[in-house]
Amino acid sequence: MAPALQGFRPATAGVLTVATNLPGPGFWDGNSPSTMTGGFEYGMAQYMAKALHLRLKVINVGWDGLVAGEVKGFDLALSTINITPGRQKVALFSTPYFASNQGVLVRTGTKVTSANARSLRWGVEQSSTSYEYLAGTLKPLQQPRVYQDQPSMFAALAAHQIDAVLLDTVEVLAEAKQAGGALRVVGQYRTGGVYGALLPKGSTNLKIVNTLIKQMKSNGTLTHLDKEYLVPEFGQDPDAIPYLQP
Amino acid sequence: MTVTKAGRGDRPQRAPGLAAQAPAAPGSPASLPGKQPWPYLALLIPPTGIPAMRKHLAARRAARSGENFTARALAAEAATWSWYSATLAFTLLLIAFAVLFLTANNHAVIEKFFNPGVLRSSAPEVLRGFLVNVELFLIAEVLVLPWALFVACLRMLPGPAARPIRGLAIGYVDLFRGLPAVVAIYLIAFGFPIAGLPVLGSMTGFELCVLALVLIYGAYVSEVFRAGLQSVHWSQAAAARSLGLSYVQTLRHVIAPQAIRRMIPPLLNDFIGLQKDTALVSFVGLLDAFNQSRIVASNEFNLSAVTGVGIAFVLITIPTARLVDRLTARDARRQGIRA
Amino acid sequence: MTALLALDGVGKRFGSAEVLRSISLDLREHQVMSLIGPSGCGKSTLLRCINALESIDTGVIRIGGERVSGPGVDLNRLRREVGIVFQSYNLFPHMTVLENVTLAPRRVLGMPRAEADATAEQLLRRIGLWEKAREYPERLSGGQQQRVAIARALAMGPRLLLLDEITSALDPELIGEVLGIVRELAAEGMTMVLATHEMTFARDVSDIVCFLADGTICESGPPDAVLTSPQQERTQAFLRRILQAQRI
Repeated sequence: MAPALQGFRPATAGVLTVATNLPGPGFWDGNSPSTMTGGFEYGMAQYMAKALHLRLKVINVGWDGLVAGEVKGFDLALSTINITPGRQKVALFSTPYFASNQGVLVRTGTKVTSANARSLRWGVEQSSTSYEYLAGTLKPLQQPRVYQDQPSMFAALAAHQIDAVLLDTVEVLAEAKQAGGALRVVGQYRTGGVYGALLPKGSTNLKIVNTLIKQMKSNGTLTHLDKEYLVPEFGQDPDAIPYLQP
Repeated sequence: MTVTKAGRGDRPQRAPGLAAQAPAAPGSPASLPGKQPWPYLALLIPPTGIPAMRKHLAARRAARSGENFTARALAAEAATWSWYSATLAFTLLLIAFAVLFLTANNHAVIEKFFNPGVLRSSAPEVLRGFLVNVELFLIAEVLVLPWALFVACLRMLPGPAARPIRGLAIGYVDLFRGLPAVVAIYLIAFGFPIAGLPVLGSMTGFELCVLALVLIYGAYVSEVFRAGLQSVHWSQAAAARSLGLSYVQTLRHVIAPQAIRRMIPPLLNDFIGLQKDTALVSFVGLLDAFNQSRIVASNEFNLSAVTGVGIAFVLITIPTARLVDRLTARDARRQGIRA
Repeated sequence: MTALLALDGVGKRFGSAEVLRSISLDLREHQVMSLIGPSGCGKSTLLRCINALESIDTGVIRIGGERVSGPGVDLNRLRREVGIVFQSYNLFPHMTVLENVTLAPRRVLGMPRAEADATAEQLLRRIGLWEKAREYPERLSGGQQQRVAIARALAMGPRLLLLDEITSALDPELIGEVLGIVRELAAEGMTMVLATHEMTFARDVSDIVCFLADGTICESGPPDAVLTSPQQERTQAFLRRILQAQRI
């Protein structure tokens, strides 16, 4: 093993424990940790496990516990987690490996413009950067609905309980694809969000994880994973989605 | 006019047709056969309507030929068949509504909730998640029993010196019966690790959920135990104590054995509640059947997996519910005999 | 010699009602005392106070010279010495007759099973119910259950036996078999206090009869004195009423 990768201390000997919050279409393709078939972040996890000569174990954890630094027993978490100052207080973040703006997901037929965005009924996920953006910047006229998890949020959208969902563009693109035409991504807000791997506070493995991520960027692994799992998942080019002004 | 049989003496005869003229309840044997409208309505449901009609016509024939007894019997049977028609019609109506509901909007409900394809493909993952629920409630059920017994005994400790202990037990029961189960699970599963408590803080999510469920249902079950123990008539305790048996011996040999039989139905009811509440652990991230089904639902954009979970839960509680019914009925019989 | 049972100024209230007032009596070993009186006069309460199922508010109860009322008394030890048989027999329905009789000797006295069974057999044979040893109480008649209750109390070898209207709940034809046992026990020298309505029986078997009214002893003395020629007005009125009822 290269010297830069030596000294990794896994939570369980011989195993690289990667935590995520399912579902994560495009990033984690599969319904449960044991039935993963592919995905951008799954590919990253596999690469890292191989490089460190460890067996890969994927565990599913609750979202708000994860970003609040309350979950234990894992080495790193890959779950489209935006790096924010608040989260950095309770956990360690790697160097960013992905960038994503905030996308607007609606039922097909709903019109969204910069002007009418504030009057829609919005839904967001608890403890997400989308929630912070909505509450702090967009400031809709009606109180947004906050959901425990993404499935409940998407179900509410489909059930006409809310008009629009704000979530990372890549995530809503994947969901729109799953919905087979019932949902569409009609706009996005430029937030310049970036994803990083989350490590438990006090972990000594941060340096090695950063090295691995830099490796994946430079040797084309990330580009390859993007092409293989995200682009087909999107159905649209993320950059082509119109930008809205808050 | 009916004629007196010769040789029977002078007994006043009832005026003819009095029974027929008196207002009678529909279908009652006293009503005149042939005047009821029900059999005609009952024909709407032929399988039961035709026998109703046949009996009705036979009753009319019998009434005409003066066989009042037979006529009334046949009229009663016609009425029973008419009732069958009515209840069948009602049931069919309900079924029709259900079918309408399921097929409305181009089979939307079946497509979104009972899609066989999704049910089948998601079954292995959802069932694997269900194992988590099963494990949770089996372990919790076993642990709840001794814990609840302990709390019940604390609550019943006699004497003024035990008042603070009784107070503690009452406080615990009030707390966990008042707290919504989901809140309790949340606070324990997340709160203990955050607070960094010595042993409790480093338990796994699963273990903390078991702990939460035991604490919640321990409160309910301890009340079942207490009520059961106190339902044994105090004269039994008096007899035991006056033989010299101590408080504990009395409880163990005289009160508890008699109480246990009565406690079983409410205990099983609480266990059914426990089985269902294991679904709440999905809120703290445990990958149980409900959580898994929601992930599938999101990925497949279809709620059938969640319906599947619902079906699985109902199926496992049915045997327990039938057992409760049987035990309660048997107990009621026994009480009846004893009394 | 000292009395086996001595009550001195015993009083008890239930809330604001004074159920027992200033009860004083002495009972020597091998004596039998009958308590008679109208319902609600406190006969049952008095018996329950003697074996501490109820506590007393004033006065002292002594057994064999030792104080057994008030704080600091080992109740379990007291109850081994004083047996009680109740009006409603109170047999343990989930145990057989044999188990009912052997439970206390085994658990309280620590008797090994074989010894307890042997003692039980002796007692059950004496009352003629050995063949019912393996039956459950619900299969026995009232009279049989009451006899088993007596055997159960005797199995502990008490020095004093209290009998609380033990025939009041029985059908008339079953009373005889139960009273027969009590007669035998009296003949054998068992010290007993019995609350009863059976006047003839009380006269036959007692050494002392006490008439209780309104929670206090109105009159007491040998049976011939109290039952045949009572001094007090109350006693006379009571006996008149009883005899009238029993004449029918």
